[in-house]
Amino acid sequence: MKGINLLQKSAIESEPVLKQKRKIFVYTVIILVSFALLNLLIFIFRLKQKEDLIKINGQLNNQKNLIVSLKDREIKYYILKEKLGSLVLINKEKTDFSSLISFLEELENRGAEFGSITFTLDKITFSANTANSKNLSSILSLLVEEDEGKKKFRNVVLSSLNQDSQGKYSFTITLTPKI
Amino acid sequence: MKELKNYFILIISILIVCVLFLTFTKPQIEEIQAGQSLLADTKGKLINLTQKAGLLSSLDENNLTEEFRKLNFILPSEKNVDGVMFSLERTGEEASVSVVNVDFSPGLISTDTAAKKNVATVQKSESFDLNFIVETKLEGFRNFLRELKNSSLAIKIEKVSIEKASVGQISAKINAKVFYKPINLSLGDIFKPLTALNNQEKKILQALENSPLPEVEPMIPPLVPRPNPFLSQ
Repeated sequence: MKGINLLQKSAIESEPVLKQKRKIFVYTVIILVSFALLNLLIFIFRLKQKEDLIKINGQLNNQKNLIVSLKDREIKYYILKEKLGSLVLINKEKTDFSSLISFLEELENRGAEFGSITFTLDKITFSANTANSKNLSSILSLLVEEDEGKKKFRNVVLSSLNQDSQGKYSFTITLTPKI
Repeated sequence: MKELKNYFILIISILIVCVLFLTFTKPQIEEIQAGQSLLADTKGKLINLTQKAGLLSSLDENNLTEEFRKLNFILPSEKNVDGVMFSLERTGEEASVSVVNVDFSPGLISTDTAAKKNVATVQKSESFDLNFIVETKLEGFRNFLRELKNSSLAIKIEKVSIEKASVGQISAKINAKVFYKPINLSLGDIFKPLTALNNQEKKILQALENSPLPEVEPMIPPLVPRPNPFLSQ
């Protein structure tokens, strides 16, 4: 026996159509709720951010007050630091001429009698005389000999060498120290 | 068409979400980004200020004043002829040599131009010439040079000329430079960091600890006013 359907055909919705409508509704709700949640999170985050900023600004002002109250100390420290920095540079530029004097004393021990000695930061010039050729050769060998495999001076220039009637040698030497 | 009708509510919702996102949420996100960068910047400033305040608080006021006084004597802000004379005499006494014929060429020894200039710069060290003669034996001269090198004095020897004066005695003419450091002081912005002293600087201060220097009250250079720290952040 055939069933009789009294409803209009359009009023009856098939099961798949209802399912689809429900699905669409659920998706819509999910989208709206997610969006609302996102905005809520943003709102909470902003509130927290503002609170953090106020707190940090408070701490910043406290530190500023402390530094302002220590202004005299800051001035002294600032000048001290600047001057110490300069002194470090000046001290680096200072040359130890005392070691050169020791070297000249060593030459004196080998028979050199100094006339005049001039040394600047990059040149040492001295004139001296010595009694005989043995002393002269000893003095010259001290100037050119190697110290731990390295030459003591970058350049050694014998500018003049004379022998007088008594056999005394007088000479002028210019040395360029290693920098 | 009927199918599309079913999606109507979803399409409308998506459109509303899009419009709300563009008009409300996106600006909020941008503000959060700006806020985060401001927060990071403020945190950085706070760290610097905390370090600076910590460094300043840790300084001993009496020690600092004493070190400041001594350093101002050794490397003054202006040409200090008296200071150089005192230092030379003392170094000579320590090395048992006599320092004679001291000849300065300091030129202008005081000016008020620096105070009037409103330039916030720290100038490099400057120097003036100093010539003097030391009469002693070669050994005494070596000691004198050593004392001068090891002393904290801001003097640099440029040229030494030695002549024999009499038997065993020498006369050494010394050309040197005496340094001073003009400071036109500006503390600058409150956020300008202060660095701690390095080892070389600490060594100089240690060397000064037992150094007997005359009681001269140091002059603090004129101060360029600092910008109001509570207006700049």
